[in-house]
Amino acid sequence: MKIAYLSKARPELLGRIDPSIPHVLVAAGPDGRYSAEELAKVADVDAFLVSAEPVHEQILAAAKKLKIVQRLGVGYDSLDLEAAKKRGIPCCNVAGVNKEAVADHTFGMMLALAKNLKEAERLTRAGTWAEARLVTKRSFELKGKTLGIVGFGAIGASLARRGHAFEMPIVYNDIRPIDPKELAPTGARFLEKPDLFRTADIVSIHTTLNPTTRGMVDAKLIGLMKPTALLFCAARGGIVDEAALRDALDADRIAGAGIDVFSHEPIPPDNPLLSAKNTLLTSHLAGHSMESMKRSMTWALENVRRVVERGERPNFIVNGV
Amino acid sequence: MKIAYLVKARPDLKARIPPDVEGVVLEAGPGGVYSQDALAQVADADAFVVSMEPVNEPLLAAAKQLKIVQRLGVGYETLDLKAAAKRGIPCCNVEGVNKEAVAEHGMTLILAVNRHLLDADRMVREGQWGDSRLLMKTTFEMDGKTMGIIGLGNTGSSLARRCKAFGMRIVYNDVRPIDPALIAELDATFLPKEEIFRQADVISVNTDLNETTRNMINAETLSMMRPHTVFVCCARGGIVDEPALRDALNAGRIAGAGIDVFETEPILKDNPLFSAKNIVLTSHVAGVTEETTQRTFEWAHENVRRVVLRGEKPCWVRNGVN
Repeated sequence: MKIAYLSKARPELLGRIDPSIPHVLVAAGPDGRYSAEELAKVADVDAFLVSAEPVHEQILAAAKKLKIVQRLGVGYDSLDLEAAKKRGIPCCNVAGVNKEAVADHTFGMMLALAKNLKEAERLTRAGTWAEARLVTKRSFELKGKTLGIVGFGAIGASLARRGHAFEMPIVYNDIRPIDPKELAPTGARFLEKPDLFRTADIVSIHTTLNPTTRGMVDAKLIGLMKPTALLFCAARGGIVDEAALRDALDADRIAGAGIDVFSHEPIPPDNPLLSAKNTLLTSHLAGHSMESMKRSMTWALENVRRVVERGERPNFIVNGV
Repeated sequence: MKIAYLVKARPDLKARIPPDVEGVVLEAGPGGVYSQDALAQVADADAFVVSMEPVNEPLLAAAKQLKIVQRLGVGYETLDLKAAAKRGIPCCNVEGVNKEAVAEHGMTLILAVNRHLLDADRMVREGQWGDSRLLMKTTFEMDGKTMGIIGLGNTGSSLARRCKAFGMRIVYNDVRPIDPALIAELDATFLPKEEIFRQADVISVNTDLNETTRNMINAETLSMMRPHTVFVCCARGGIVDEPALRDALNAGRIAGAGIDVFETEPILKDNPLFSAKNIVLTSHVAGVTEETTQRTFEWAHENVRRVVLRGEKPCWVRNGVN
């Protein structure tokens, strides 16, 4: 079996590659296209293991023996699902692989913003004790505040569990009907999106990025939020309108935001959120942990082996093949 | 009724004094010594409502009409319990008033430290996207990990409940017997302190400051912890040996720490923790949110009214006076 890892040469990936499996490392250029040299590398591979590089017609056509496109993560907006489907090639992710890490990270951001941790820490280190303690006048408890979860999948449900233990009422929105058994442990209540944005004290986005969700959290939805509310997104860049969020923050129309994902990554110097008030920004880290990185590779390789070595149908198919 | 508020560094206090109270705001001078002027002002006070200022023998002696010493918080180590008891004056705190706030702050520090939130934010803004991702090398998921809580009282049990929802296994130590119903609810296991240091992935101390707990976290106990361990303390300064914690962090003997309370407060410019790696520091704010400030104030004043206006027994007596 031969694998192509579609990834920039990042240390955290390279350290996890199984050296005993024949493989090549392939990366696209800045325009998302692959050079002839890169395309030649994939001619005889059985599987793509995809980090953040795009999978489209150009590279699919060059991989004559390809049997599976396997994401090393959960989001799959970088895969051309139709192009792969036309060739009978399943596109797969590893759904659920990092739900606890993302929930930990998102909840950590919620707490850090509710407690104004950045400011509190800065003032503590500056030695201005009284001023540092007065930051608490702008801090609040999560207890009793309503947590609104947009997208009640594995990650949304993990977040809900945490919010519930912090004594937060949970409301959610999802386009799919959710099994009542999933909702019962936290008593999560369905709300239409406008009502959720209007009433929640903390809104967190946990949907995939697709044509419906692109730009979904726009000036209009943000405008419905309370001036004391906080917004979080650790799902995908492109769901939240970054300029609209910056405008709302600067006009004090909402109180703060924690964002882990951006319309372009790495974040360019002109991203509006870099200059917005009261934000916590991290670099697409929410899904990271020692366990989830290892688990992603294990689940992904196992899924690839199912197809390539055992001729079975893979798990986690996202393009209906 | 007249109340002497023994409070430093809370400029917002005067505005909160209830309309039915004649209030004076006083603080001790260096060495905990009150000025002659301060002592004169407490002569006709019915109650002390105390932040962290000391309540000592000279102050009690000057307060001839004093009926209650009431803390605006949970810890009470700045009150001379015996001196007040000798005069038949109850010393009271407010139990449980800030347990959720302290638990929330504890979790804030744990997650901020383990997930490098502040460093990642700083590096993103400094254009170091790639390097910021390398911060996560020792980041672990809470799910399936062991949370060690030393002191399973109000704040410790509130924290334990929250950690459980993150998928953590709870181990605890406490000198008092714990309600079996709580242990069952948490599915918690008692361990000797040393075993907690050795086994837990995250450790929080939620005890009082007393002779047993002073310097509990020292070079020896820190050396029992593991390189990925995260340690937090939102309880009291003096529980942690600060130079030892600084050394352990800088040598990588533990992964990170979150500290809200210090041996000396306000924190001194030369506090060793300022030069520690992988540490998040806040200024004794864990129990202080707008909600708890409000609630603490209300509960404290209600307890004072109980005694001074209605001649009833107060709640939360800590020095055996009834």
